[in-house]
Amino acid sequence: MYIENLIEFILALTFWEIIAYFWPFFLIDMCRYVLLDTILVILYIPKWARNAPRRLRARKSLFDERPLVSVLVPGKNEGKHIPRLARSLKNQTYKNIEIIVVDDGSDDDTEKVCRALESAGDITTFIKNRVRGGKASAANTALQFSNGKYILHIDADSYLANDSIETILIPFYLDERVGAVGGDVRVANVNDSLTTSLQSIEYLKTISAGRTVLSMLGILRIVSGAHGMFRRDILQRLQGWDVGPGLDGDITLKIRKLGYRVVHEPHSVCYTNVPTSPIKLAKQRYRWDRSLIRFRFRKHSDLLKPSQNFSLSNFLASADNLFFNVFLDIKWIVYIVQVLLFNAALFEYIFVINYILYSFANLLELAVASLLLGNRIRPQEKRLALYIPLMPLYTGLYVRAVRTYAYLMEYFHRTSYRDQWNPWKVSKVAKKERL
Amino acid sequence: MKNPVYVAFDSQHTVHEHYYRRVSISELNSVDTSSISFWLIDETNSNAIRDIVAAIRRHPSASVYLKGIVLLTADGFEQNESIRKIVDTCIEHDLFTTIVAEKISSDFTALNQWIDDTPAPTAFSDINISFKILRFIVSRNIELTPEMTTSVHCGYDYPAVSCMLQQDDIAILDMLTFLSEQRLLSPRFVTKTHLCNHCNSAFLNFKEVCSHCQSEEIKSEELIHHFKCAFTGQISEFDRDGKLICPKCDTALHHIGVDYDKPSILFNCQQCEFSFQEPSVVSTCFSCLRSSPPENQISETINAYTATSIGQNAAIYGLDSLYSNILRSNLNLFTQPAFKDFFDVEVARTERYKVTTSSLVIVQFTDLETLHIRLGRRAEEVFSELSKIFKSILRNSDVISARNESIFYMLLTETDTAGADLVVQRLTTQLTELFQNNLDYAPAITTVVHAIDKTIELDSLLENFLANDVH
Repeated sequence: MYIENLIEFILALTFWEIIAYFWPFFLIDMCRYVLLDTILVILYIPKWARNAPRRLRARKSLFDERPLVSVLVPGKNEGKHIPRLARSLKNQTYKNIEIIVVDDGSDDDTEKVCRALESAGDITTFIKNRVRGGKASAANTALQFSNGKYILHIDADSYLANDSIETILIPFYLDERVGAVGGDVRVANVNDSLTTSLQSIEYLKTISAGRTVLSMLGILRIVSGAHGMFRRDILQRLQGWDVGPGLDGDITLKIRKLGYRVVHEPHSVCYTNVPTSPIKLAKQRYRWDRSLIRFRFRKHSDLLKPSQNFSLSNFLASADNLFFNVFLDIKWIVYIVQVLLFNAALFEYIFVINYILYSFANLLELAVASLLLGNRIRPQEKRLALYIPLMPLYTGLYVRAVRTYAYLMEYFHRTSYRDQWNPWKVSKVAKKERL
Repeated sequence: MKNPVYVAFDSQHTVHEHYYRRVSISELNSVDTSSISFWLIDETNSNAIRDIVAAIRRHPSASVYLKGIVLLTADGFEQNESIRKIVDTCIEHDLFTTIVAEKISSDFTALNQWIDDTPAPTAFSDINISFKILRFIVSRNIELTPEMTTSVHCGYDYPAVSCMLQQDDIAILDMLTFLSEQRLLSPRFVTKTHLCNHCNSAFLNFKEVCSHCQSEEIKSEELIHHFKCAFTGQISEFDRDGKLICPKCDTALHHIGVDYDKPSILFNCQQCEFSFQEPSVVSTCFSCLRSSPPENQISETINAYTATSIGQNAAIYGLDSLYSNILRSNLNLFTQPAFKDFFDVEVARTERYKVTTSSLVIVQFTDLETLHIRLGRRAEEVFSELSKIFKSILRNSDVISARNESIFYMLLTETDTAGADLVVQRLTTQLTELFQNNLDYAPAITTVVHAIDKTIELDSLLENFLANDVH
């Protein structure tokens, strides 16, 4: 009976009623995330196939030159993850690499584990910082002692597919204007919990497909800290990373400002461990989301203003992020108020239809990501479709609630300066200097 | 208290001539040690003093080597500390009056009493240096302490007893460890030292080298982390005219912990430019010039030693128990009285039935000292192997006993001398192989085979054997 009424309600909707009742989906999310992503990924696939000969030539140039690649692994208390990462680096198809691990003041057995790997030759250099300085200082320490022409920054709790380094280097040989390449980041612990499974879908949608699309549009705004390759000369020019959190997005924008292209390479895969519980996930996202306000809205606000160095792509890279993530975050408040004020009687139908629409949208986005990744999709990722009905709750409610809270806290209270992610003495200076 | 009679060596002085008799080293054997209370050395030359002390301490007779040694030091002549420590007492020549001499003699009363009360050692017991060291410690009731010195190869010396040895000075460490493992001495940890794994020298040069190219030319530098911009680099990068200026943001660094930190120290190789935190360490021996990683060098614990109650007992009653425990557990070694009983029964049995013959075999190893000196604590393993050889060749019906670790005697029942010769031949071959596989020498093995009959007196046979009259 309820379903019959629902179907009857849907069939009776006029075009303008559809727009009026479901404008957030049809005017914004479907256009921006479903249609755009689908169209561009569909365009990307044949383009990628057409570019095969160019990629082959680029690969040949890479192996002819055989530049040294420095893999920087900063981390604290990550000893248990390092052996797996070292194994994956040892198995790379591209062999001319050096691995520099910086222990940022660990108080577990990280030093013991890493010294053993260093003695065995599985790590080139291990540096133990007795005093914790934060992620940026650890990364800069590693950079200081690296020698490679290209610098791969990778999170210690991640590991790479065997051809990852080779694949992420190709874009540098396809276009010399490329300054940084973001590798794909996929969830390693897909089946650990419901939280990790939902994040797996999210990563496939937003990183694998989403960043490929942004890259095609030339407005990629972040090279993930978990997996990003940089030209050494550019990092040296920038003198490394600035104080975080959000240092990966920060350095990406700085590279863009220098006029270099930043691209995403979905076929270079890194597997990373994601938070296993909703609480841990909330803490991680709270940290990430605040950095959007701190860096894009404050530190790099110049990208949005007309100036001599104005660049449309840089403007769009930042504006897209701020508009769709920050500004449109309030659309839900407006929308809910609208429905409650003018269509309160239809609230239930509107909610259910929205749920169905967003579920299908998620399914389509997952399908698009699968299409993009082809045989790189793992069996456990194929089974993720079963979790699609939960995604509207995950992204629409949970992630959105954390994000909104993070924006508000950072905007009004600058809480990122109190985050324990950085040592308090560093945060104190960062706050004082308004970094 | 003995009469204050002492013997002086080579004295140029004429003090107390009515008390002492002047003798030379070669005359040691002729001295009636029962009538003297201590040896007096009136000599100023360090080497001569050492030679005299060595001659006394290396003497096989307990009444000679255990006797106290007093060194007269000349006016204005400052004997070095190491010389003072190889003798029991030092006294300035001018202070050595009759009264002082009597006082010293009185001080040695307990020692001399101990020497007198100790049962006469067996003919061979006191050729065992380990045993002599044990007796020396027990007789003086001292803690034998090590001295750090550059004058010996292994860096640590036990001056009170080291002159008993002629061999490489490392042997003293091995012997003391051996006695300790036998629970005859109780160790007290003093220190540790590294010895060259090739030549046992303690004189090693430890050097930090590049972990990449092994170059010794490495420099260490502090790492600086500037909080404001997260720049991290070596201190030389920040150094601008003696001030610390961040090369990234051009800000002056003022207070460590407030605007910057020094998270670690790194080494830079001046040869290959490799940067690293943990330099490799190599050690080079000053003696043999060989280099090895420190972990390959020998880490030796240096202890001070006191005698245990077992050691005190062994010092008085002999060292037979040292190895006989090993042998007894593996071989069902019989005590000497038990062996004598078996022997007498066997003589009576063969005499009565006159059907078969049994044989007595005596085996003696000479120069076992070298075995102890070279193998030290590992000598125990050799003795364990030795017992296995005995066990594999002898039958369950054979009876074996040992006088000490050097002399074994066996009663081979129902075995004629030809059969016993065969046993001895096998035994000798396998024992020689054992020693040669473990050492680069084999102790001499002397054997004797005797058919048992009523004419044989076991004790006299053994005495004759020990006097090398038998063969």
